[in-house]
Amino acid sequence: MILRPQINDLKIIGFSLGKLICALGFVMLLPVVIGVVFSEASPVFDFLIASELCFISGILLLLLCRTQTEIDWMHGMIIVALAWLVAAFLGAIPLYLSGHFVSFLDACFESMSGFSTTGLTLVKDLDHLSLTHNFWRHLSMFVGGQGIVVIALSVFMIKGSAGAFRIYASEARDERVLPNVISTARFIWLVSIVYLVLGTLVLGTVGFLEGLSLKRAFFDGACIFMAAFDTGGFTPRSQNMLYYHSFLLETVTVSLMILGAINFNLHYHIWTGNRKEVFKNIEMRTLGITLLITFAIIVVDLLRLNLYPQSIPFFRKGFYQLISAHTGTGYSNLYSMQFVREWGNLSLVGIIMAMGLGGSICSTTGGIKALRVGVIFKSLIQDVKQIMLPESTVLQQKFHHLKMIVLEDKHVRAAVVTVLLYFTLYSAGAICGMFFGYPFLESLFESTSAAANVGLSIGITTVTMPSALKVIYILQMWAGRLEFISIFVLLGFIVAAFKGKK
Amino acid sequence: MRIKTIGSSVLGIIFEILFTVFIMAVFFIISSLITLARVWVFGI
Amino acid sequence: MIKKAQLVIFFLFLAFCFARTNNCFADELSSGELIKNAKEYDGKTVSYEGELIGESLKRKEGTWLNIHDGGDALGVWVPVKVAINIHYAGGYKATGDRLYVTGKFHRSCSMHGGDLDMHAHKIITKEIGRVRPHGVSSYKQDLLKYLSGALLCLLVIFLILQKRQKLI
Repeated sequence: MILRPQINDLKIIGFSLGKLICALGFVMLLPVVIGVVFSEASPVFDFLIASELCFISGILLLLLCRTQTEIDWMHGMIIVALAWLVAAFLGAIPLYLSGHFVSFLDACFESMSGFSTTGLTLVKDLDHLSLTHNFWRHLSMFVGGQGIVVIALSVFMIKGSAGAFRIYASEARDERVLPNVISTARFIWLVSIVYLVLGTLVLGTVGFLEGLSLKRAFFDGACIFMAAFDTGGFTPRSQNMLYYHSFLLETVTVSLMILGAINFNLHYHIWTGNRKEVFKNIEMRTLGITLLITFAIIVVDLLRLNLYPQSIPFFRKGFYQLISAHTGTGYSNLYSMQFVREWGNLSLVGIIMAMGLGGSICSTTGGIKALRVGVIFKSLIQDVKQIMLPESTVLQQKFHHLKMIVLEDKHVRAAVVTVLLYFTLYSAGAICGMFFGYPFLESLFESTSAAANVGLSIGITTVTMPSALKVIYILQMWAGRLEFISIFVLLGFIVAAFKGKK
Repeated sequence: MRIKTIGSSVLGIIFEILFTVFIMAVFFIISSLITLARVWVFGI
Repeated sequence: MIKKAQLVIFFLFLAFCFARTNNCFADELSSGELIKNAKEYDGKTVSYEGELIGESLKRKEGTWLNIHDGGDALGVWVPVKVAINIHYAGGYKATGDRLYVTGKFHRSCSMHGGDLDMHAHKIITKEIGRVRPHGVSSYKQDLLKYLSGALLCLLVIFLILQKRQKLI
C-alpha cells in the first residue's frame, strides 16, 4: 500500500534541491570569468542573471523547506530526477538570452543535451556564438558527465551520510569507488581535473600546430576536452570535428573518448597499481568484443560500397564514427547527410548497435553499458553449459569485475530489466519519429542517439523539427542519463500524491 | 581517499594513455589490412 | 561564306564551353547540394560562395578556410600558390568576408584523409566583413539590478535565520 506523500517529504526534497540549485548557481559563475577575460559584456550579464535566478530559487527552497530529516531512497531518487530537469531549465536561461535559440524550448533542449552529455544541438549560427556561451555548453557536459550530485557532494558536503549515498546512487552511479561517498565523488573529480589539465595542454598544442591562434587553440582545446572526456560531443564549431581538418586532433579525441568510457572504479584500480584489471575486467572484454563486432558490420558495408578505398580515410571515417558512437560521444568528421546518402543501411545498423550498447558503468557514457551485456552473455553461457552437463551438476558461473563475483539470478535480472527498458526507450522514440514522417532507420538512429546520450545526428535534429519531437528527445535524454528508476519513482510519487493512502 | 604514491598515479595515467593508443593501433592495422586485402582479392 | 564559317566556329566554341569540361563555366552550388550529391560532383570544378567562419588554418602547403553559406560550412583547401586576402574571419565579434571560391570538389579527398572538401583554384572577396558591435541591452541591465536587490534581501533573511537557529 503506497502512502500519500506528506509535507515533510516535500520539505526533504525541496531542501536538497535548494542546495543543488545553489551549487548550479556557483557553477554558472565560471562562464562569467571567461566573459570578463574575453571582454564579452552581454554574455557576462546573461550568466549573472541566470546565476542570481539560481541563488534566489535555491535560497527560497532552503528557507521554505528547512528540515533535519534524513533522506531515504525514495527522496534521493526524486531529488535527482527533479534536479536534472531543474538544471536543464535553469541552464537554458543564459543560452536563451544569447539570442541564438529560436525558442526557450530549443534552449532547454540544448541544456539537457549538455548536462546529459548527449550532444544533439539546436543552436542557431553556432560559429557566431560568444566564447562565454560556448564555454557554458561544454562546461555543462563536464558537470553532467561527472554528475550534478557529484559536484554538490564533493564541494558542499563535508561528511558523508546515508542520505548522501542515496542521492549519489540515484544518479545512475551505484558503484562506490572508495568506502565513503564523498571521497568517491572527490576521486571522480580528481581524475577529471587531472585529465582536464593534460588534455587541454595536448589539444591546445595540437590546435596551435594545426594553425589556430594560441588563444583559440587552448580555448577550443579545453572545450573539446570537456566534451570528449565526458563523451558529450559538443564542439565550438558548426562543422563539429570537420572544422579542424586534423587527423592528429581526431586521434587525441579518440584517446579521450576511450578514457571517458572507462569505469571510474577501473581508473582507481589502474592508478593504484592494479593494471592487470584492464584485461581481466568483464566490461573491458565486452567492450572489446562489441567494438570488433560492430566494426566488422561497418567494414562489410563500407567495402561493399567502396566508399573509402585507402586505409587512412577508412580508419578516419569508419573507425572514428564507430568509436564516437560506442563511447557515446557523438563527435563526427562526416556531415549528417553523408550518413544518409553515402553509408549503407548495414553500416547505419552497426552504428545504431554501437550507440545502443554504450560504454562502462560508472563512467561518463550512456547506453545499455558493457557490464550488463557481459552479465547477460555469461548467463547465456551458463544456461547452455548447464544443459550440456549431467543433470546433477551444480554449475557456478563467475565473472571478474574488479573482483571475482559469482553470477547470481539477481545480477541477470537487473541487467535484463534495464536492457529491456533501454530497448523500449529506443523503440518508443523511433515510433514517435516515424509518427512525424521520418523514415524508420533514421528515426531509430536519432532516437537511439538521444536515449543513449550519444549525439550523432542523421539530420532529424534541426531547428525546424516538430516541437513535440524536441520534447520527446529531451525526455529520452533525461531518462537515458538517469537509467529510468529515479524517473519511475518520481512518477510513482506523483501518482501517490493523488491516489496514496493517508 | 588513499592513493599510495603520486608515482603510481602517474604510471597509471601513462598506462591508460598507452592502452588507448594500443586500441587505436589495433584498429588502424585492421583497417590497413582490410584495404590491402581488398586490393589483393578484388584487384581494384 | 566567311561569315557563315565564323558563325559556325563561334557556336562550336560556345558548345565546347557549355559541354562538361573543366575550367570553363563552373556550377555555383550550395553546401547542401554539394554534400547531398557529393558522388555526382566528386572531382568536378564547382563554385561556392559563403562567409569565412573561424580562423584560417595555415599549414605547410596551404591554408584551410571554412566557408559557411547559411546551410552548412565547407572546408576549402587553398594551396600556397593561390592568392587570398582575408580581412575578417566570422565569429562573435565580426562577420567574416564573403568569399567566392572556384575549385575542385572532393567527396573523399585522398590528400586530406578522406574529408569532403574543395581545393581552390581561385578566390574572390565579394564583400569585406565587418565588426559586430554587441552592447548590453537596457532590459538585461534592469533585470540584473532587480535580481541583485532581491537576492541581497533573501541572503540577509537567510543569514539572520541561520544565526537564530544556531542560538536556539
